[in-house]
Amino acid sequence: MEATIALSLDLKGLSCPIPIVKTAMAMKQLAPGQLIEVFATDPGSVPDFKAWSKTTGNPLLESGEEGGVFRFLLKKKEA
Amino acid sequence: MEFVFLLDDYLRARGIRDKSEIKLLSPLNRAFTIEAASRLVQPILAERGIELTGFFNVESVDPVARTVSSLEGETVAYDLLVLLPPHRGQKVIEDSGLGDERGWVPVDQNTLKHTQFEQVWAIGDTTDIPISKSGSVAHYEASVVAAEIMAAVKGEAAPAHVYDGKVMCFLETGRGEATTISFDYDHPPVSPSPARRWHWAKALFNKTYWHTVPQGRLP
Repeated sequence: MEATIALSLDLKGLSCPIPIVKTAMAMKQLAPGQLIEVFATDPGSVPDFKAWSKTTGNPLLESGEEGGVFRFLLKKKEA
Repeated sequence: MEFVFLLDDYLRARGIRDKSEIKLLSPLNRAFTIEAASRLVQPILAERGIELTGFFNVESVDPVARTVSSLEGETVAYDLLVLLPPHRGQKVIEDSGLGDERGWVPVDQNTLKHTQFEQVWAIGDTTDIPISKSGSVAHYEASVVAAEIMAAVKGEAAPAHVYDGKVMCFLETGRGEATTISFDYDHPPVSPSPARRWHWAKALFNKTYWHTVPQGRLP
């Protein structure tokens, strides 16, 4: 069973790079293995979250869109 | 961006470029937030030996140890750190109750009319629209807002002419050359190859601005 979401961030209306910056800041508060979900409306956030996850090693578990709102589910990497 | 190109020039002129390292630390995995502009400048950065470090969102600076650390967990040593602070709106806007939590005035991105308050418009670096906080933006927005206000005063229908997100700026690329970046909401930037004429155009524009643009002699 998947762990529950520890933190949910509403970053709708913010343009890049702010969604990445706010997510990186929020990630610092999490313990390894904890999940964070992020809501954003900037279309550029889709490739940005994918690339940020790859670079930093924090897995991007889900990336989806509903009614113009993008949702990303990330897991903090193990230390 | 212009700073690193001009610093590269300066260090070469001093004859100490080979003894110096220039690193550009970017919040994203590219040099500019706009992809097309990144594609323009990244080859120039590489050609000049300027290293791009992506996804470096500054968390802290240790001025004694001379290191800067990122939220992503990287630490870079420096002799000279040139840091852009996070941009935010003016305190007067925060205090007025007209702004959002970051001090920007929330407006419709086409009419520039406040999203909550009647008879309030905003232009330039006060607005929350997702576009450069630059002088050219204020310039292109000014005529839209002037027409909006005139129509409101006269009780006429709102004008059809709206702000389309137009931005135009010069970008110095060093070695006496520059390019331009011009785009709007629907069109990504298309830039000419860096050339001396754009450097001179920027210099000329800076000298002549007050005699041309505010007087309406240039569009």
